[in-house]
Amino acid sequence: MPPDDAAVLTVSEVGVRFGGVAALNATSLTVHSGTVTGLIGPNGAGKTTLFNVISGLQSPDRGTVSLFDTDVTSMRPHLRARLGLARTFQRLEVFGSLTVSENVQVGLEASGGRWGRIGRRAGLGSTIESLLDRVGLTEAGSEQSSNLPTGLARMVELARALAIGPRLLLLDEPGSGLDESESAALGALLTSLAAEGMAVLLVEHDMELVMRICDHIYVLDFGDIICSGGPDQVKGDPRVQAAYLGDGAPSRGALPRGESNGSATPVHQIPEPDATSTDLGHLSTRPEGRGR
Amino acid sequence: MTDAPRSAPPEEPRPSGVTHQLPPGVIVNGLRAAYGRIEVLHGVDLEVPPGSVFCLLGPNGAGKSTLLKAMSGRLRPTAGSVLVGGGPIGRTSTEKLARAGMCAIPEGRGVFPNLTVRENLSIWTYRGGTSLKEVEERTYAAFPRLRERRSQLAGTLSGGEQQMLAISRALVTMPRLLLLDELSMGLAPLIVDQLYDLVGTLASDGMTVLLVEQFVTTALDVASHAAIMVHGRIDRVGTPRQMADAAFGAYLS
Amino acid sequence: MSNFLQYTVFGIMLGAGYAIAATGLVVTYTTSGVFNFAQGAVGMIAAFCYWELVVASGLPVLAALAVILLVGAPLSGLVVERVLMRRLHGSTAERPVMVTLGLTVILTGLATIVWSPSTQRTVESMVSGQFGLFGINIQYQEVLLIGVAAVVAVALRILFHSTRLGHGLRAVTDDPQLLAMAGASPNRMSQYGWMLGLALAALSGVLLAPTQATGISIEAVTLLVVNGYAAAIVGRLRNIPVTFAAAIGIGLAENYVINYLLPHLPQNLQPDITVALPMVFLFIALVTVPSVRLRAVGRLTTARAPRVIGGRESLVAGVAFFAVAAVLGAAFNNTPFDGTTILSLGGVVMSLGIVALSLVLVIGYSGQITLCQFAFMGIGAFVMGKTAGGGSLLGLLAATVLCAVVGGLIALPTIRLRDLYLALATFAFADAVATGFFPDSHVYGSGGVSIGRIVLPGISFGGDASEFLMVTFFFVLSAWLVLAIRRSYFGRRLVALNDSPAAFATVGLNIGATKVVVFAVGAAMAGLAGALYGTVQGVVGTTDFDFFSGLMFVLFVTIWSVRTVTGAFLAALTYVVLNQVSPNWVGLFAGVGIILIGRAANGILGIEVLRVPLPWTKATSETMSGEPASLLGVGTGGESRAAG
Repeated sequence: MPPDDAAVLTVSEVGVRFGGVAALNATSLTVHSGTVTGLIGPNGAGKTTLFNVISGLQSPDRGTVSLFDTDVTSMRPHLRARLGLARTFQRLEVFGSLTVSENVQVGLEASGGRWGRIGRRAGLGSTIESLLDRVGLTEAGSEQSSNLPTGLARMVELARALAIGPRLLLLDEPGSGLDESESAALGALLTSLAAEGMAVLLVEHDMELVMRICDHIYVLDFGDIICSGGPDQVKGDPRVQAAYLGDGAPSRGALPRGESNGSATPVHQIPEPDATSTDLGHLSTRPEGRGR
Repeated sequence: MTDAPRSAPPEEPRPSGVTHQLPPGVIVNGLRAAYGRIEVLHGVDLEVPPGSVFCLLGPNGAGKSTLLKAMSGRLRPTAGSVLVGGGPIGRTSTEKLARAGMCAIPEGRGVFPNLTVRENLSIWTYRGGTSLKEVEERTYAAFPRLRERRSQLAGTLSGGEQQMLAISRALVTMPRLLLLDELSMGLAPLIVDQLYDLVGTLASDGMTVLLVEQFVTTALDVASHAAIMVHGRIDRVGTPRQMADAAFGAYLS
Repeated sequence: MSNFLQYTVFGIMLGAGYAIAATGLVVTYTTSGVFNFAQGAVGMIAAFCYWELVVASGLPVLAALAVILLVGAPLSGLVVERVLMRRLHGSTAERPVMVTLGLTVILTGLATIVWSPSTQRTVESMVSGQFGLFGINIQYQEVLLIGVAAVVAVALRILFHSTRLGHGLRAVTDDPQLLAMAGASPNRMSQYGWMLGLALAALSGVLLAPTQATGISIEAVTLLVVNGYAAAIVGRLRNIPVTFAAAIGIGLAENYVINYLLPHLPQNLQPDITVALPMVFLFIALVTVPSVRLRAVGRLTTARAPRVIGGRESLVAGVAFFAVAAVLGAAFNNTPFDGTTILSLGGVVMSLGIVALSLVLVIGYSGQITLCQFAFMGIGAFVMGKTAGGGSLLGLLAATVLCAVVGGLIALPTIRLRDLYLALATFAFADAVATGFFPDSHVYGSGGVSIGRIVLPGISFGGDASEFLMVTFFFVLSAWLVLAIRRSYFGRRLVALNDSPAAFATVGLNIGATKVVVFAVGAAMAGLAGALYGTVQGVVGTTDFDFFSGLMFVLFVTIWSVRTVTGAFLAALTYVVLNQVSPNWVGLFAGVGIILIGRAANGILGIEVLRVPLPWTKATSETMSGEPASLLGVGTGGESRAAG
């Protein structure tokens, strides 16, 4: 891959094996500032492994990773973070015994340095608040974060990642556990972050979200990038359809885009008392008082 | 694997207590399950008719794997019940369910990576009724590649070979109820086809199969029934073709 | 040359004994995920039972062996697994460590009651006589031990690779749930693992007992078997052939060091190095062998962490605590009690309380398991006694600072160690200091060191009450400090490190630096506590900072609650009071405690029913978070929903 001035992340020929199974074979990709880049692929394709390699939690067997024109292949994770890399995790990694605010605060303090911490002391509270506002956790600040439902806990991770003031943000399935409106808000947030100049690399299963907000998409399958390009390009690629739909799937249409034609009827064999509707997009509500 | 016969047509639900003659059906009633304080299944109602091949589709995080865990005794539900062959499984342990004829193959890898292929097969004999020799013969007949690798650690096999070894458990123990979690995950379409052909054959020999998939795959070809699960509930039930058409719409929600 | 051969044969024999113990450890660890710290204590009990049956009761050797190895040990394994271990599946790292350590201190305590250390007990070789070969004399006992080890090795090899039971035992390591789905019971496998593991521990104890020419002692036999720990680490807790080879290597290295290296070292160091050698090997093994990813069936997190105490609240509580102490001090000034005085005991409680507070910081907040706080305490007391003639404030400062430095230095090589490995490293350090350093004639020796009382210009700390109040003051100060740390940036860092090392590193925080600092602060507190303890006691010696007492104390803190300041105080109080009543009560409390640890993750203060009267300890209910988060369904927050 030729050198690229605007590239904040260049992964070249990275390979990782676990035992006899290759999680990644010679994977390469580039992420530019001011864009949202999608990384999609079926479960087990190697997306999370690639994130771990980029953030330094997993060393690759071969290949190099370069961040902001620095070769970081053997750099420890916290030093990569200080270069301006932040990430979230698919398996939640919130600081569960801390409150939501404290999670964000640790992120702010980690990036502030000794003097920055003291200098920003006065503004700390309002900075935390504005970050929580941004991810929709305005009133959750004093909750212990391990008590939050998954979707909101993911937002805590996102706020904490933003707190370190990253130039490159890796998001591992931020949309799972979110409902429609939350997911739409997430899309808007990511678009606005890119507009501010941040580079976002997004792993996500919600195809609608990916297709809507990504400038560029890489498709990973069996540890190989099988296709990359703009959303329309990727959608039309037969290899992608094969990877996603499997061969011989009854439905061979394009990647999910439109609404269901509704030929199937929602069935409630044994209706439950508190279910208001089991239609698509139905929002379940948490029964109050549970677990208290 | 040749073109396997597709699944038998759904049979009439049988009265309970005949599990020794017929493959058992499964009825799930208002099942709720949670990890700690986070509820994942918000009341699942599902009926898997005896002898059917039931394909449960749903996006990542819908609770499919959790449902299978609750059905196989790996997770205690917080409410609701699971009836297998008419009888509630209650708090029966996973190993007892296995010995009673339930074969659950978990997502990802259903093999012991630090045991050789042959040693894995030796574990399959714990359910009783078969000797290691028989188990080896039947497995190698279905998957000749495994014979070549019988002294190799399972963890060093390719993904497809691992899945073959995993599903060999269903082949050799002849369970009455088979629960398959994301058999196709991370596998090439050709191998997925081969594995599902085998599932079809097994089903035609008389076992009830509940399989879970995230994406629309070959699974639907062998299925006799299908349903879509979204957000911890069964969203809709219908024929495999109806569900295939409805799946993407449901996933977008 | 013949000397060399002689040493080699003896070394191989010792190594063979260690190998048996070490494979027992590996078997237990692989089948149940628990590293059995009590392996040495079980071997010791077996050796004493053998003495009891053969020497005292005159039973035939084979009958005694059958009773111990085929009945006693497996039965104990069964009970231990069922009562203590089963609930620990998938728990945090510290609980199994504490339970098996608890078992160690209880078994050694029990042995002290049953077999009074004042009697000499010699175990004869099972086979007597010797023969000459290549100009050296080889004892039949040596041949027997090596032969038994070889048989054990071959038998285990066959068991694990050629039998279905063996496959099951290995399969439970890989994936217990999958084993259950295949129709086998993982619990049963763990049970077999414990039975086999303890039988091997007993075998090694019985076989090694005759090597103790001067008679078997509780501590010596226990620590003899501990030699196997290093071998098990080299075998990465799973590889039995490597473990065997490492055990033989350790036996040889030990003999060569003792016979070749030691004579060139100063006379007075020789006995110290001899006893500390096993721990040195263990420490080296830990910091050099790449650590394996430890097993955890699922991560347990406390659904509700103990409440963070506010600044004003901790100040008020501290002042109130001190006021109560002052009243008590005035009431009981110079009141004699049971050979000492009430306030002197009170001073001991307060100084041990500071050690307990250091455990809250290091284990409770940051999740780093440390077992060597008593070693720092002993170092602190020693420095106090040797600085400016003892009894000076300068001494307090020197003890604190020096221990901080030592603590930081100990943390450096162990930075990459986590959980069990860190526990083992601090275990090794604690034992090496307690058995190799403190008994040295230049340190405490057999007499002890006189510390002296602190005299401040203008204020007399000579009286009973005033001294008690000074120590209490430092306890309150430490408690306030620990709570202040929890509220600070550093405290949030510690808790964050405990909750998620991966997220900790990826927000840009340095794991190694944080560990070094928390270790240093914890060691400084323990050093200060030791210095204060010294001034209270006047004269302190090796027995004050005994290795097993140190383990027992950590256990007490864990039983009460290692995450709260209240727990720290109650642990110190009960430890001192029960010790004063009778060591048997200490053992009883510990025995009940380790059963409790399996059931209440946050100790006594974390139990739900106690939450109401003690608002600062609302904790306990556990959640499994080992599941992939992607399985967890929809975000269903009642409040504050919309993102962005």
